[in-house]
Amino acid sequence: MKKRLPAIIAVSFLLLYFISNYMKQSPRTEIDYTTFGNTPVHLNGRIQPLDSVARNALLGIRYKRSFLNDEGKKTSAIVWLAEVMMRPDLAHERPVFRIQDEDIRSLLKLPKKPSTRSKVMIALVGPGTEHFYFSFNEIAPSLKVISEQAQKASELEDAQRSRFQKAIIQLARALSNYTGLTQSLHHGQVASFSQEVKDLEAFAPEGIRAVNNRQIGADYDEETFNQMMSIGFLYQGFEQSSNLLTLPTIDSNGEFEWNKTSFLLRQVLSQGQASEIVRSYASVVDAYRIEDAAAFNENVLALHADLKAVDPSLVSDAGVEQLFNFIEPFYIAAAGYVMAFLAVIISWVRWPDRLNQAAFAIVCACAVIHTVGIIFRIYIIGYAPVINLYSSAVFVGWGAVLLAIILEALYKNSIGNATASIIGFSTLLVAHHLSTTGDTLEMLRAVLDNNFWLATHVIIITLGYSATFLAGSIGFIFILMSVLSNRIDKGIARTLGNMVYGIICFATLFSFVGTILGGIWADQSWGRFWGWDPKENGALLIVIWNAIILHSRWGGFAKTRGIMMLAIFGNVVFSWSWFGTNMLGIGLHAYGFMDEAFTYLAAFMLLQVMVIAIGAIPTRFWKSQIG
Amino acid sequence: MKPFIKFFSSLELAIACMVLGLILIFIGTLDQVNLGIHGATERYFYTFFVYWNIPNTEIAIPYFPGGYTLGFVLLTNLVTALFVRFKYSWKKVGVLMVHFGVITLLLGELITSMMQTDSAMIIDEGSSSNFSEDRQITELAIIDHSHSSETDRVYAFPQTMLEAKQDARHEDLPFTVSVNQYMPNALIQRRDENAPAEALIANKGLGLQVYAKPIPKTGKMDDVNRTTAMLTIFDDSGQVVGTWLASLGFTAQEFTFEGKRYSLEIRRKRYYYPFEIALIDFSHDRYLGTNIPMNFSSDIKLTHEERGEEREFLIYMNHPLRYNGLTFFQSGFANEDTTTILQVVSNPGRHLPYISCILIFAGLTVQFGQGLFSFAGRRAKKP
Repeated sequence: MKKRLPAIIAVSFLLLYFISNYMKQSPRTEIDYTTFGNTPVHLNGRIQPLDSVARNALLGIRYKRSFLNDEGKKTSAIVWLAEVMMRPDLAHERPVFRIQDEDIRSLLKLPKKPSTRSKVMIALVGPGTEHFYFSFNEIAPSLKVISEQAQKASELEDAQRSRFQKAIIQLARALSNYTGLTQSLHHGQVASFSQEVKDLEAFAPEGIRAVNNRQIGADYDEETFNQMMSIGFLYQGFEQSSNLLTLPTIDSNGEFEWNKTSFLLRQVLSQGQASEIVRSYASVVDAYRIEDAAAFNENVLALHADLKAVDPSLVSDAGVEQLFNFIEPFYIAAAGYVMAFLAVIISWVRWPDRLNQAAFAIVCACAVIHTVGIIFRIYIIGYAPVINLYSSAVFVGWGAVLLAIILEALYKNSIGNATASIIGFSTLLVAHHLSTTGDTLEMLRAVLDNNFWLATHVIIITLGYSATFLAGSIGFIFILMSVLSNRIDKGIARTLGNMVYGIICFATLFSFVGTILGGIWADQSWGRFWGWDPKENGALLIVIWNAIILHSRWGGFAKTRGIMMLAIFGNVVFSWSWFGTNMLGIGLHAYGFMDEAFTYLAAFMLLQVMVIAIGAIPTRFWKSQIG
Repeated sequence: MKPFIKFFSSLELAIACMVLGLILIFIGTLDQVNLGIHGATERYFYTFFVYWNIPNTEIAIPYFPGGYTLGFVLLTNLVTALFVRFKYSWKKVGVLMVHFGVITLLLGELITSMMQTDSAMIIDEGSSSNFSEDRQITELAIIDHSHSSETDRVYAFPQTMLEAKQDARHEDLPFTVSVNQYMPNALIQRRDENAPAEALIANKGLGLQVYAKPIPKTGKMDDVNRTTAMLTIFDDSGQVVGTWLASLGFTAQEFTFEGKRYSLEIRRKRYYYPFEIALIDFSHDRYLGTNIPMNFSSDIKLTHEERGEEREFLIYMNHPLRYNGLTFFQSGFANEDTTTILQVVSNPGRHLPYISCILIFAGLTVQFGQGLFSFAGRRAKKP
C-alpha cells in the first residue's frame, strides 16, 4: 500500500482536476445556461448543441472558447451566445473581436487600448504578443471598408495573399458569422417575440385575403396589403441573415427537415399558426429580454419537450456533445501528460521507483481520458476517428502513447513514461493549435465519405506515423541522456536499441500496408493506384526511411547509436509527411493549409538534426558508456 | 562476372537506391509547387534521368537518376538477390513474401506508367456518348463533311506528328497539311499592330483575328495546355491553299476545297468505344445548409449493340462502373448539375498492387510475428 501511495495521490490529483474543470463549465447564475446550451440546432451540416455553436463561434472571433464577463472573469461561451442571439444591443458592446494585425487596426482607426498586461508579463513573454480586443460597435463604422478589402483579397489565391489580406478575410468571416448569429433566433425589430407571433397569427387570414384579392383583381384593402408586403420583406431579410437551422420537422419519408426560425412566417400563412417549437423559442427570447430567469428556465425546458416530441434523441444526442465539451478530455489529458513528465524528471533525481510508478499511473489515466475523448468524437460524428488534420494529431498521439505504455509495462525503465508524456502532450498541443479554425467535427466531402477506408487506410497509416514518431522520440531521449548524463549503461543501451528496433518493425508494417491500402482506395475511387500526390509521396518517404533503418541494421551498417540517430531523422521525415506536404497546398490531400505553422515545423526539424549532430560526437566524450 | 553479380545483389546497393529514391521523391514533391503534379511526375519519376537545363540554351545535363533508373536498379537488385543472396527456408518465408510483394509493386507501377490511359467522357442529361477525350494528349482532326449527309469522315493525326512538324497526309485526302509552327502551350491574343511577324502568315480562319504567343507547358491540375499549331495546306500540285492557326479550344474551322466542305481543329485525343453510354440523370447532394458535397451520382444506361447488351448502372463516389477492361469513375460535373464528367481509365496493371498488398502484409506479419514470439519466449525464460 505504502509503495503505491505516490501513484494513488497522483491519480487522485488528476481526478480532482478533472472534476473541478467540469464544475467550472456551468455558470453559477439564476439563468440555467447549461440546459439552454443543450438545445439542438443544425449548423455546418450536422446537428449540434448551442453550446458547441457558442464555443466554435467564439473561437473564430476571440480565438478562445470563453470570454471575460463585466467583472473580467472567464465565462462560458454559451453566456455570450445567449446575449448575441437575444440581446445583440448588449453583445455589440463586448470587446470580443481579437484583431492582431496592426495594419487592420490602423485602417479601421481603432482606439488604442491600455495594456492589460503587467510590465513583468511583457518582459517575460515578449512585446508584440499582447492581444487586442474590440467590440462590434467599435468596428461597425468600418464594416464597408472591411468587406471591400476582403472582397479584393478573396479574389487572389490563398498563397498570394499578404498577411494583412489573410487577416482581413478572417475578420470579415468572423463578422459575418457574428451578425448571422444575432439574427438566428429573432430579427429584433419588435420587443416581444411571443406577441409578434400572436399578432401574425391574428393578422394572417386578413393579409392573405388582401394579397389574393389583389392578384385576381378584386377589391382589396391597400393598407393590409402593404402591411403584408412589409412583413414579407422583414422575414426575407431575417431568412437571409440567419445562419442557424433551428426548427426540425419530420417529413413524410421519415427524414429530418430543418428550417431557420424565419420559417415561422410560412407556418403561420399555410397552417394558420406557428409550431410549438417556435412559440417556445419566442417565450425563451422574451423571458431573456425582460431578465426573468425563472420563466427563461421553464421555457427552455418546454422547448426541449417540443424538440423531443419531434425526435427524442435530438436533445439527448446534443447532450452527449455538450458533455464532451464540458469534460474537455484532450485538455485534461494534456495537463495530465505534463504532470507525468514532471514525475519522470523528478524520478531521475529522487525516489526513482515510486515516482516512476506514479508517472505510469498518470500516463495510463491520461490514456483512458484520451481514449474517452476519441470515443466521444466517433459517437458524435459517426465516422472513424481520423477525419482531418486535427483528429490525426489527436490520434497520432494516442497511438504513440499506447505503444509507449506497452514498452513501459515490459521494461519499466521510465523511458516509456517519458516518451508517452512528451508525445501525448506535444501532439495534443499541436491539435489544439489546429482547432482554432472552428468546428473540428466536420462533415466529410463525398470522396472521403467512406467509413471502410477511413477505418482501414487512415487508421493504419496514422498508427504507422505514431510508431515512427515514438521510435524517433526514444532515439532523441537516448542520445540526450547518454551524452549529458551517466544514466545509460551498456545493458540499457541494448534494451533501448531493441525497443526502437521493435517499434520500427511495427512502423514499417503499418506505414507500408497503410500506404498500399491508400493506393487501393484511390484505385477504387478515382481510378489510379498511385498519383504522386504530395501526401502519397510523404507516406512513401516514411516507408522507405523505415526500410532503410531495418536494412542498415540487418546489414550491420548501424549499431545501437546509428539506429537511434536514423530513428531521430525518422521524426524529420514523419513531420514532413504529416504537415509539410499539406503546406504545399496542392493535390487531393491538401485538406489543411497552414503557413504560420511552417516556422514551428522548421524549428522541430532543426531540433532533430541538432540532436543527431550531438549523437555524432565520438562516444568517448559521452557521459554514459554505452559500449 | 562474379563481382558484377555481387555488386548488383548487394544490400548496399538496395540501401543506396532507397536513399536516392527518398531524395528524388522529396525534391520531386517540392517541385510540384512549380510544375504541378503531372509536370513533376514526368520530370522526376517517369524518366531515366532528371535534367538541368542550362538557362538560355537547349543543353540539358542529367544530374540525378530518375524514377525509372532507380526502379530498374532496385528491381535488378531484388531479383539477383533472390537468386544469389537469399536463403530459402521456412524461417525466411516472411522476408521472401515481402520482397516478392515489392517486386510486384514495382512492376505494377512500371506497367501503369507505360500503359495507363486516362480520359474523360462528358455526357449531358438525356444524351449519350461513345468516346472519351484524353486529359493530356491532343490530335489534329481534318473532317470531311461531304462524305455523306448523315456522317462526317474524320482523319485524326496524332500530336507527335505536330511535335515533329511532320506533314499530315492521307491517301483519301486531296491535300497535305504541313506544320509551320508548333506550340505545346500558348496564350491567344487579339491580332493587332503588336502581333509579331510570324503571326501574320495566317491568312484563313480564326488566325486573321487572333494570334498565339508561345508559353511554357504547365503540369498543374487545373490549368490547360493549349496545344497550338500554324498549319499550311498544300494541294497535290504543291500550291498553297491557305494558312490556318489552330489551337485547342477553337471551334472547328471550315473551308472549301475543290467544292467539298472540310474543317480542321486541334482537339483532345479521342478514344472511341463499340458501346454507348447515355446519362439518364445526374444528382449532386450537399450537406444541409452548406456547400460541402455529400454525394455525386450518375444514373447511366450502357448499350452495346453488337453484343445486344443493355443495362442501367448508378455510378457514384467509390462506386465506379467496370466494363470491357475500362473503369468509369464519377469525376466531375458541369452546366448546373446537368452534365456529368466520367473519368475513363484503362490500366492493365491495376490488379498487381492488390497482390503485392496481400504479400507484403502477410510477409511483414509473419516476419515480425516470429521476432515477437522469440522475444516473448526469451522474456518468459528469464527468472
